[in-house]
Amino acid sequence: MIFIHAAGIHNTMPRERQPDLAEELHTLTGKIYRRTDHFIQLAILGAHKAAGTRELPAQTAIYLTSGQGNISVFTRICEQRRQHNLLPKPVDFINLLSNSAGFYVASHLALDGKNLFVTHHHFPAQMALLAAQNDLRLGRQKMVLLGGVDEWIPRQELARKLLGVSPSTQLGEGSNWLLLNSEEKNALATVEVHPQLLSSSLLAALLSYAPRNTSLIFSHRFDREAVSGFMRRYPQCRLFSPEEDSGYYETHPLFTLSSFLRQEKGRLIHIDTDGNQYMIVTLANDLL
Amino acid sequence: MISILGGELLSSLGAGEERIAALRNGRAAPDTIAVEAFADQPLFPYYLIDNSSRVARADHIEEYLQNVTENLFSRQFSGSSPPANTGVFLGSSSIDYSLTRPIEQIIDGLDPGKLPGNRVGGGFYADRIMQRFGLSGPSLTYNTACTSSINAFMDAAAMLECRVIDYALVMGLELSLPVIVEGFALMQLLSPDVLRPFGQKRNGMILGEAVSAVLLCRSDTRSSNWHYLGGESCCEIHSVAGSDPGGKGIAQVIRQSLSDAQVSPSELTALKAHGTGGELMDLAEMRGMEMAFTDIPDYFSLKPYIGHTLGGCGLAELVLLMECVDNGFIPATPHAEPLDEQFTSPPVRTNMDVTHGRFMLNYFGFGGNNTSCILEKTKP
Repeated sequence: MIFIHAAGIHNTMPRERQPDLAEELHTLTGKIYRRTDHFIQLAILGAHKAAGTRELPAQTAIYLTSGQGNISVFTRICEQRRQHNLLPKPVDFINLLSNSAGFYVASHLALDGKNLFVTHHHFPAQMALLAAQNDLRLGRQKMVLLGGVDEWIPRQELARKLLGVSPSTQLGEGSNWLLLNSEEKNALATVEVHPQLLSSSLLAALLSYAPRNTSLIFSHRFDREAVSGFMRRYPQCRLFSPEEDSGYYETHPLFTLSSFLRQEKGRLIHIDTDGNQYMIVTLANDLL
Repeated sequence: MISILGGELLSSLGAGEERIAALRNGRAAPDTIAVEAFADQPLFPYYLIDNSSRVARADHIEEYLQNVTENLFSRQFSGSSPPANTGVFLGSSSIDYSLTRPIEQIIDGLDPGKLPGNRVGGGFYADRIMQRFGLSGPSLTYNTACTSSINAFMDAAAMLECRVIDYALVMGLELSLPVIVEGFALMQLLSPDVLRPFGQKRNGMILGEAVSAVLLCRSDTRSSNWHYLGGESCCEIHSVAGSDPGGKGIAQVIRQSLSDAQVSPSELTALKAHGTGGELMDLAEMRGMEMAFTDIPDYFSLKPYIGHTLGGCGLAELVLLMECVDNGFIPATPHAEPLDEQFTSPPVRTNMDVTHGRFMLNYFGFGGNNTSCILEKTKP
């Protein structure tokens, strides 16, 4: 079992342009982050909110995940090459080639431990959580700062195409972080990611044994009808709904988990799907 | 303990005996590639997998990944299917290969049509491999610059230790893309002629392509002479563009790797250096080794043979090392003479006779990424 010791939420639904985060970051941290792009600023903002006033041990690991990474920089580089025959700026090139966001988060929090950027075709947040869960259980890490960062880009049609979502999908952006630890003392909640994808029959078996008042939440990949069907089949469960609105982004499950911590006491099962199988994460904050 | 069952590699060195002969004889010659975005379109050396198809590298990614996986699985499972509970761990400096073509088409005003898998972006190729080979274990794609595929390897070992999976397919991927060559050329990090690791006349790196695959399992599932003993990955916050030339971050990760693997420096048979031929990078690496070791072990660089394969170098160089030792030698490091006058210890000058032992493998990259790990080959 692993424990959540803190959470940080940054979640917005831009309409026309990316919000200017540099000023918000300066207000919050008192620092100016040169040579950073929107994606990096998003990452620092969320991580800063999760760390709060804590001084984290230097060896704290950073596991950063995202569906598309710094897609606005990559798109800009492609545009500059195709339309203007321009070379990439060195800073853009470095940020493109590596997990620079993780580097800047590490610099901001003075951390020199393991620092990963990982992703997955369907479940980036859950797979990053699984990697952290393994390292904490093995004792390879004592503390992991795990963040999901996805940015909104103005070229909405392009973004929807790449994400494979319908033209009516409202996209959002987020930087949601959890401070994870293998120790229970002072923890806010337990969290567990089921390491294997579940078939519909295995999911049904699991949900049928869910204790009364277990909250369920379904990822954006479920439509209303599917969610209603689940809730009818498992009347002992109730549907959790975050108070804060959010658009579609691929690391959204971390927003949901953090929102539950902020709003509720109890047990939550987060259910996501790749269209065929299911991935679940359970969180409980009523027994600590 | 984690067994390394075998590996496959596509690189400029060809395959099988041809590859071993090149390593044994210290022979490897890069192709050249033009940087078309520069006004004078300069040519740079580049170690290419196949110089006949350089126009559309991204179109070959799935084919290359499938080829190395098929070869590996057919050798390891004798033609039967791999167990479904096999995880896939892929490392590359570019998680955006799959994004390139659709983005370019949209920028050009074209409709990319229905995208394969309905979505592109992070994790796309790992998912394609999972589907192609009927694998259902977890998968992760790593983007930590030049340490990407070795970090994938080390996390795959952790996933096995946790008994989440029974087998792990680890893959490294690096193919030439115009933006990669342009970026390095712009930063003046490319050598115009020869890659000279730790040499006095070193003048930059030469890039290379590599697609590799390694199969891991727990030793209680299947045994092998090759084992992963341990390692460490750290973030050095000196600069986003490279390691501290003083070597502090590199020394730290080397020490932690030795500690994790419970190996003393004197037990190391040899050390595979990162050895890029970059002026500051080689300086940082040498300073790091000097700080971490009283006596620097015999060390060598494989980059003069296949180039710097960036995010793919972790696994590609691991496979080359295993192949060399399986063939009884550690290759000399070409072009390292004359040694940089600041350095006291030269890389391996002539092939070493080695059939087994403990080997440290070091990798360092942009974004403060430093990784070191230790493998062992027991006596055959």
